[in-house]
Amino acid sequence: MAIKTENFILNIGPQHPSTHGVFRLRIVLDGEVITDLEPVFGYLHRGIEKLAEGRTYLQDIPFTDRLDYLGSMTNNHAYVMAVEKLAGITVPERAEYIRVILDELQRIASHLAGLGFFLNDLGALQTPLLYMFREREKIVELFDMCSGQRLNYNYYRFGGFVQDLPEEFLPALKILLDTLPGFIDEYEQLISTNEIVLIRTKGVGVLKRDLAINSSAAGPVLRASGINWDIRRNDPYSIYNRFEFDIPIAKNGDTYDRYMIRILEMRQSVRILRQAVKDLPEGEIMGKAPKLLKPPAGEVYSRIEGPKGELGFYLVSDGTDKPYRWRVRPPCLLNLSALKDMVVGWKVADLMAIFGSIDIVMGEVDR
Amino acid sequence: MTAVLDYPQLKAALSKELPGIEIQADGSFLLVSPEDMHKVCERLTSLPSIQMDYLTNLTAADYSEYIEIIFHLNSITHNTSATVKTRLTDKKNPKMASVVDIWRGAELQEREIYDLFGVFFENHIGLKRIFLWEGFEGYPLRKDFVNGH
Repeated sequence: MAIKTENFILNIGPQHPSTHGVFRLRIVLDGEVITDLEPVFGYLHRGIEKLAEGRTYLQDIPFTDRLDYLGSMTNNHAYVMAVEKLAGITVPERAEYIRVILDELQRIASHLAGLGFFLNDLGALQTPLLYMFREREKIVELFDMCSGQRLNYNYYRFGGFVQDLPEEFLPALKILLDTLPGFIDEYEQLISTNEIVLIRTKGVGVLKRDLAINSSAAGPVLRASGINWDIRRNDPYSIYNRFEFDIPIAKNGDTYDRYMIRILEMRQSVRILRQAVKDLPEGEIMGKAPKLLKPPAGEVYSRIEGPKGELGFYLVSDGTDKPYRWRVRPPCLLNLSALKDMVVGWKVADLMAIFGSIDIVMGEVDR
Repeated sequence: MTAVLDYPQLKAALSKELPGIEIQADGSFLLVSPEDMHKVCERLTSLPSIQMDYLTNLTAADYSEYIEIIFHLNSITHNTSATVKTRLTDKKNPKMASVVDIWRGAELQEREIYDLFGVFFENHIGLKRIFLWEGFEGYPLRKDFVNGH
């Protein structure tokens, strides 16, 4: 006689250490195996897109800090670049170099935090996280030097920066660049060949190549599935076409690949940083931009390769000092499109490993 | 550099495939009628010379006469991009066919447009509010929705 069984519905979150913020996953279980999943969003929805429409272009920069708050510098960059495109503002050479330096530092900081929390989710409680945060702290200190903030920097302005880099910035950055590759080696030594990590991540939560493209996945998630797509290379912005770097690609699209891509990307960021620091010119850091900006009527879609993927801004101007429409293309939200396909068939314990490897920040998912 | 497709050429290619549909090629985007949108999107992905396989961004904007739905498309195969728009003039009851069956990436973005603009997407796999709760009155990103500030 067959035993009668019943599916079990389990709520994970909204308050759960592994959901990286206030996020709810409603999963249907057959024993321990996940048969269905529904993500529930909105617990951190602040209506930023609506609020931005009521403020001037300049007043909207702090909103971008509060999207993906582990990548504030890149968010600033994406937004000011869109407005500069809309208003036709040119950026001086030195400012472009500083932008590349800060973006790549932010990428490393974001990946470090992402990897730390990912390992936390795998069950390696706190220790790897603190190893990652040891290096992230140095980057945060660098950002603190130039912007006076540790988290929401609000440092970019239309045409350049609010102020030049302080003189202690570059010496500290050079020390960091000398030591960082050694620390990445250390992470690899501790994690990449760790037997528990390998068993829990290799072949787990595969995102197939076609589905990755079709579900608008971006950034490390897309590249881990074997797609050579990086905005820095495919649609170059700022001065990225002047630097030599590789785009790391993996082929399996599993959890391990998503981890590995981030390690490899950090190494490439160090490479870009070294070139940018070497070539950093003297000069102005602020282009000519009016105090009260009124871009001509029109629209623009502008994007950068943020740490989590393609971060775009779609702005519509009606000629006034406030944007008519202010839209963020959120990589964190879109990377969750295929979450269901990645976790169905895996056990509850794997869910957190898969979910952690996508690396999302709720501030950007819910906006 | 991602090349932007030439819109008059794109219009010609689509008109050949789908005779009788209304397309306007503006300098910076392709304007399609809402009824034809699904067919056009299908061809945009399937025609080998166009192959817009990646839906980069799907959003809407509220204007006084219509609600505009904006598709920012990319072809990862050819490294090209295109912007396709459609305008929903019935602002009381705006609706169009969902494109989730073409791009899975549209699922959450369509839910977002439904939530914040009140546009109904037919044949969507699970259309419901994404950020706000069911029972919330009004659509915040419409211009007639008054902010608390």
